[in-house]
Amino acid sequence: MSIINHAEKVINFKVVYYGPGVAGKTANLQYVHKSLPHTNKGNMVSLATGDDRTIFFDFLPVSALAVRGFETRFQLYTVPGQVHYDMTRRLVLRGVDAVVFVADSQYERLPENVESLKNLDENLQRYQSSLDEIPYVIQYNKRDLLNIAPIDYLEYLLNRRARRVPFFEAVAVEGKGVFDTLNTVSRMVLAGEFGDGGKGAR
Amino acid sequence: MVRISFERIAGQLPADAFRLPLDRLGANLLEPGHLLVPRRLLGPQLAEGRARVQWSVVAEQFPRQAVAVSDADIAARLPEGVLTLPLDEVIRQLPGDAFALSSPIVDVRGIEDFPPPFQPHVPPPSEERPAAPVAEVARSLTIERFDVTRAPEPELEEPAVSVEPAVEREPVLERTPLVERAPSFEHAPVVEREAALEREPAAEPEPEPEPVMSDTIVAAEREVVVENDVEGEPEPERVRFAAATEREAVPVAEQEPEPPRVSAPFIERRRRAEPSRVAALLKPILNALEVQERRVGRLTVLSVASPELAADAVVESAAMLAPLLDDRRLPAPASQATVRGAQGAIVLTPLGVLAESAPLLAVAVAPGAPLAYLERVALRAVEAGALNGRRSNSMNGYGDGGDDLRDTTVPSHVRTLGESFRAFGKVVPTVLQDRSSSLICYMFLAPGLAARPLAHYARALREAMRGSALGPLESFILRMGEDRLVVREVDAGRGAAALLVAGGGPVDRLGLARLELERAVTRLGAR
Repeated sequence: MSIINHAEKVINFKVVYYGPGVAGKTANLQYVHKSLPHTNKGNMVSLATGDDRTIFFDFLPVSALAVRGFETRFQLYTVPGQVHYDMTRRLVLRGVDAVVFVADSQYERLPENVESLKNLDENLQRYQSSLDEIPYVIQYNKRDLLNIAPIDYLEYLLNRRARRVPFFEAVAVEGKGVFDTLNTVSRMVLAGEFGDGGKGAR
Repeated sequence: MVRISFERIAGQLPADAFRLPLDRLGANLLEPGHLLVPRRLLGPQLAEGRARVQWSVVAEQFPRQAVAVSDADIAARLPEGVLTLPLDEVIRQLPGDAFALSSPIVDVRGIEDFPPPFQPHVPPPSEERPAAPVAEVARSLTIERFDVTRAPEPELEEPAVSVEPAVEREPVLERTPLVERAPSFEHAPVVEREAALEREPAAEPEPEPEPVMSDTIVAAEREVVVENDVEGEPEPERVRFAAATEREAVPVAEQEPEPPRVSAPFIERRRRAEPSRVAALLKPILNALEVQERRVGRLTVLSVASPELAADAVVESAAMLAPLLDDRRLPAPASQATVRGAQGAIVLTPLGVLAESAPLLAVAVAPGAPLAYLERVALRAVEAGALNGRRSNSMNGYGDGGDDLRDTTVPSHVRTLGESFRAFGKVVPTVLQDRSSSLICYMFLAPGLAARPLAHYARALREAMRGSALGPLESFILRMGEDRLVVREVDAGRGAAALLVAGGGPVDRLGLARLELERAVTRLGAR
């Protein structure tokens, strides 16, 4: 649910990067952070600690275009991918406006992708939402590796709900597909918020 | 039928269950070199991203005279009782339309009315500079860097009963006010950013506090408030943490301030105040834990143990392991160690230089409990305490135990394993064997680190853990600033003992490091 500050004419959206551990969620945010001009981004907060790859979450605020006189700002979050940090994932999902599901394309990680997508849907349902309602896209990451599944099989695994969603191939550490993913999910959010097609966009 | 290359699954079979070597066994299958698996069995599994088959399905394809044990025995010895098939081979043999989807792609035409909100910045050639690798950015974004700002300790001023229940603190994650308040992202006030960071622990999966604290701790907290007032200790100047890209130019090591010069009475007062200060820092999890201060010889242990563990045993374990944190064989002073044993886990954090009477914070929890939050809070205890982690001049100088560890030839599979490590950077594989106990130490160390002293170190750690209430060693992770050293017990089977020792340098990708270690332990154990 977006937050509108009428006094400052600012509208905030929350986008969460979800997916199994080591799929590349943080790499997405790091590339966005590295690539955006300073005027469009805040500092990236990355809570990585411990030697157990424990990432509480990452946070990156970015500002975008103005729509109907409102400045639009997107708060980008990642969640920890490890199975046992489900409470953190649920908390990060609270109030989410859109999701980027980052999948690991490697064959050996496919069951974890499926599990993570199920977990996402379950956690959304705790907030009376679901994957059938919320704007989301899927990013098939690590396409540069050798042992990767073909896209049609990944689609069969992860994108065969009644409503299929846009998907992107990516190599997040190199930035490939990162901005396509972010721009598409952001535009889906904007289209949902400004339902007339955003005629006021500039 | 789907044909699976036997060589791809042979590694899962118990070799001693067959009268033929596995390579010859493959040649004697019903279809030489391949297993045949009915496609109908695989279809439902493919929707879960896996392909497995029970032994009973393929057993008859093996020549019976080559099988030395019963089918039930073989099935019982397979991982999870099944053979995992290489998914790529399965997928390749399915028809092209096997995964065709009937549902339409989502209609996103409405979004075309909006221009792409984000465009990557392409600097002109004059201002272009070499892009930092993502890993470098990641390293600069760890929580340790943020903690250069002294964490405020509001808990010290609150009565114990004012601890807020978790449900009231959770909403802080819903919207971080940073963006809403800051008119511009360029110069967001530090205070706001810190506030956001301070609230983040509410997201932890750790147990949240009950509004209950022991009387001793409450009393101690009041004492420390008074003591701080008397001291009039100035708050350290807040250090603005810069964006990752800004920090790249100046290595953190160069930014480290000189340790503050303090008088001996001051240090003593600080030392006395440590338990209460630590209690305050650990308040969010104090419903399950209590802080005790104990002296073991010259060592002061501030112990925090979950109820499942005996407090005395925790203190003894901490004292037993403490010398290993202050050990000459380490390439750098230890800032924290996380030790997992079969009976429990302990996070040891020196609150300064142990040899100079600094206390050791020991937080112990039951096996399987999440440790990340404890590690973070414990590290904060060090930094908030303004105690430094410099190396002692009188570090423990354990004898290396003579030359009872002998070099052995590095087998090819160990060399290959060493080349597969990426998260640890380049590592040099070395194998040493204990003459007396047959313990094997597989060392994968950063170039320049001597393997033998660290092998002795790992062996000493293993011995210490065997006498510890935490039980035999499972894993040991030592932080030395940015650098990490990991020791893992390898289950070599048949009574053989082995240790894996890896790292010694910075680790860029902790997640990848964990996966690589798991893989290495499995592969070394399978030999």
